Amino acid sequence: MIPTTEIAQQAVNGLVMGGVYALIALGLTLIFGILDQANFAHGELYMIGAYATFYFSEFLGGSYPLALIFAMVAVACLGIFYEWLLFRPLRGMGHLPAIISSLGASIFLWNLALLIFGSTPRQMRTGLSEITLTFLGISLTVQRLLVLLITLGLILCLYLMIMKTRMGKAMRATAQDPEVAALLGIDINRIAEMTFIIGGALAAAAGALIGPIFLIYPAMGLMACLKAFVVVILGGLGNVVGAVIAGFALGVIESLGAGFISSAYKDVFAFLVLILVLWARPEGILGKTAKKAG
Amino acid sequence: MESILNVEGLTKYFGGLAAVEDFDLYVKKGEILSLIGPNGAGKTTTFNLITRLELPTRGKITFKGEGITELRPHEIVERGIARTFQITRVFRKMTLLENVAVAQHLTIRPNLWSTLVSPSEKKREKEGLKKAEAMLQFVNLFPKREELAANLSLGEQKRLELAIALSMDPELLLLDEPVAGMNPKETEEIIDLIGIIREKGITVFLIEHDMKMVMDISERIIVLNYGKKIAEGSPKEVSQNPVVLEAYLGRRHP
Amino acid sequence: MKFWMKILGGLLFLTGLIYLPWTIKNPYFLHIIIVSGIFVLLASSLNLITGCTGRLNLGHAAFYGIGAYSSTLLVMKLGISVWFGMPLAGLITVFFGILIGIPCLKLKGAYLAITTLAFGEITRLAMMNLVPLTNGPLGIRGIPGPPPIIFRNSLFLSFESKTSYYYLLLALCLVCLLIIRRLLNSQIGRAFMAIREDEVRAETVGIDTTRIKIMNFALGAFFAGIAGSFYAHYVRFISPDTFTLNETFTILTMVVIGGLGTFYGPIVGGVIFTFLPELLRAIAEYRMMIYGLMMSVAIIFMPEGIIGIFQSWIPRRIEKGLRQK
Repeated sequence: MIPTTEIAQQAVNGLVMGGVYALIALGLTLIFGILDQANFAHGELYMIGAYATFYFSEFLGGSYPLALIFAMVAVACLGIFYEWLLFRPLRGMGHLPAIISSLGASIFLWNLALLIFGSTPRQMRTGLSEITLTFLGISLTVQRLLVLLITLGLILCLYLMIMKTRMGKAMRATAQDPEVAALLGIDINRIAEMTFIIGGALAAAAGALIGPIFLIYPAMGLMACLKAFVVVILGGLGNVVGAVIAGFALGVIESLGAGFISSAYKDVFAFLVLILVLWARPEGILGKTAKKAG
Repeated sequence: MESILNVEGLTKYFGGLAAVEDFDLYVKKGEILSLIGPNGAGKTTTFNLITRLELPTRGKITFKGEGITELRPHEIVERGIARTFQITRVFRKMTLLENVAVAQHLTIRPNLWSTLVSPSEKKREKEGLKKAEAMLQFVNLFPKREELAANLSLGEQKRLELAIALSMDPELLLLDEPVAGMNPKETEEIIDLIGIIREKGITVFLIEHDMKMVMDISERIIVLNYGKKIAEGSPKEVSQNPVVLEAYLGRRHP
Repeated sequence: MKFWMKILGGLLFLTGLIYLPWTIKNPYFLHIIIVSGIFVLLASSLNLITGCTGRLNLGHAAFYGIGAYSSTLLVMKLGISVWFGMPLAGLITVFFGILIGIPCLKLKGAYLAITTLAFGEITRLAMMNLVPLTNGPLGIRGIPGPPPIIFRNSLFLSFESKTSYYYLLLALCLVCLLIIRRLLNSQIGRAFMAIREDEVRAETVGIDTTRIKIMNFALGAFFAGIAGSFYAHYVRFISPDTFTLNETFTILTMVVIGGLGTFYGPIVGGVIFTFLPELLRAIAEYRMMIYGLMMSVAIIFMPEGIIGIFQSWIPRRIEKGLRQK
């Protein structure tokens, strides 16, 4: 007897988590695709988004939606600082320096958070977590449903933005061929700032959304960043649709694995998937759009 | 004269586009052969296929009677083919001397044990460095041997590429646009160097756009257009070939 | 003339190092020096992989740990003498280095960084969870030190005091660093650098990049494993907490700030970043923060590290100054 209801329940939980992964991975994949760089400090944007939401809602006494928006704006600004301080000085110098500079920033930020916020995990309250809906034997708290809805909404906004707006078209042009884009008069610096604004806002949203469900702690960005990288690699560097699909997929795989195999090793699933994929296809599942050969 | 390199039915598709299609060519031992054609004709791709930077979709390449289509790039160097790059690819943060010395990897054949333990290895490396210095003198870059390759001008980088290629003791030298971007004086120097290289018995196969140079030094010319061979023969024959003229002139009127 | 000066300077320095323990009253200070020696080895080993060959290895602490645990288990469970255990541990670490190196062959940049990070974490999880073998999070206590060295029936070195350990480490460092120095100046070292600069180009100058990359990982693993083995028999207690991602970051900071790809860089970095936390005891909580900050600042403003400042930046400024006159 296959426990279909249980599987479905775990899968739905996985979708919620997967949406969060997708949000984080989207920013990361945009940075990869448009700027050809790896941002190892991306998880800290997520972490700071969570803390920002937490403290904002504390000060405003529980206005969660406002806190979410505030966090997105604040972290978007932080994203611009990332670009100015960590990536712009190293533009065009290959991959290794930017990895090291963002790695250093990551270490700096999460230890800073450790100092400021302390290592005790925090719990965000929104008052919604207690209400549970049940449908076809699957139960979902309103909080989780909200996460799913907001995630989908943000993804839709991003999609519209990239496809329909001028800025979005400029970003896509830069991703395809930075030299031609420059010749067309596209300012790479503005594009870079925009990419980090979007990446920061999405990561912050992910942090804000996850806060009420799980605990907030300073090192939460590390594991999130790793998983986001796995999602990006699975979906293809720079592939926005791929990141969304892979994000949800990873969430579901993790959830099913944790539910049916072992919850202690939950985090290992992402690693295993990563190693398997990279072994079979070192360029990632879809790889990056081939630029100049040899 | 025997042919040192034989290419049969070479084809390479990028997506749906044929960069090179059913390309047959042979290179005679000791000759200077030039490959010309309008931009994008597939010349560099041909070099990439011979040196295995790309895998051909179809076709067979034989060097000195041995099939080399499946070998890895460093094995191709081992067999005796060296190449330079159209857009120079020198090791930027290494000195000129190191750039040339590293290319002697196969002549020295280092392995871990002998590097650490055997004194003759050290001796061979010293000789290798001397040889590298000689190479740099040959291309007139000896005074700058301790400088980083990144600091060189374009012409100097092209000469460095030549030194690196020669350092591999090749029997066949593939030169991809060796004088691109050079002034007439520099071009003359390179032509002289190629002459000396040829006298040493090294076969030269080159790609160039500088028609004067090509006509001057080539014994034989192959013309490529849209990935297909359209002409082959002596410089005189090719320069009078109407198909060739059309290919070049025709390009100017889109 | 200059060559003899170098030799003389080196000999003087060596004499100083040999004489050093007798001048130090405080055993804790000697301990710090010994620890800095361990980190010199660790930084130099990571430098081989990340500095010279340009392949970021974020799982380096795993090699450190594998060396430590291998040596411990060989000595304590199989009764092998420490003198055999150490080199064997080095070889076992090499085995793992190759094991990890093979799937990493086709990876570079961020892919490589993440994968090595994953391997590092998986290794640490293994240390935590293979309890029958590693005793899990509790670690292994009471690891024996090396047996005393007896020379002509009189005790030469008994490993009861730190001084003996100091001399052992000094000898280890000298041998390992000499090997590394020889490697860096050899054709193999040039092959490493070529792979760092342009891997495809390296293939086209005749370098078998597959073989060299695996050799590179194996070497980095070996020296880290030796360092781990020494650590185990010196501190006489190991646990998974020592071999964490933080440790790898610390070692990476040493290499970056000392000077990526140079010989002296990791040595300088290793010493500085072992002494620095001691001097800055008061701000211990800020330590990792400062390291992170320094790493980012260094790679942007002084990518060649401290050594780079002495080797190129200062001479260039002097040259500029002289030319302007």
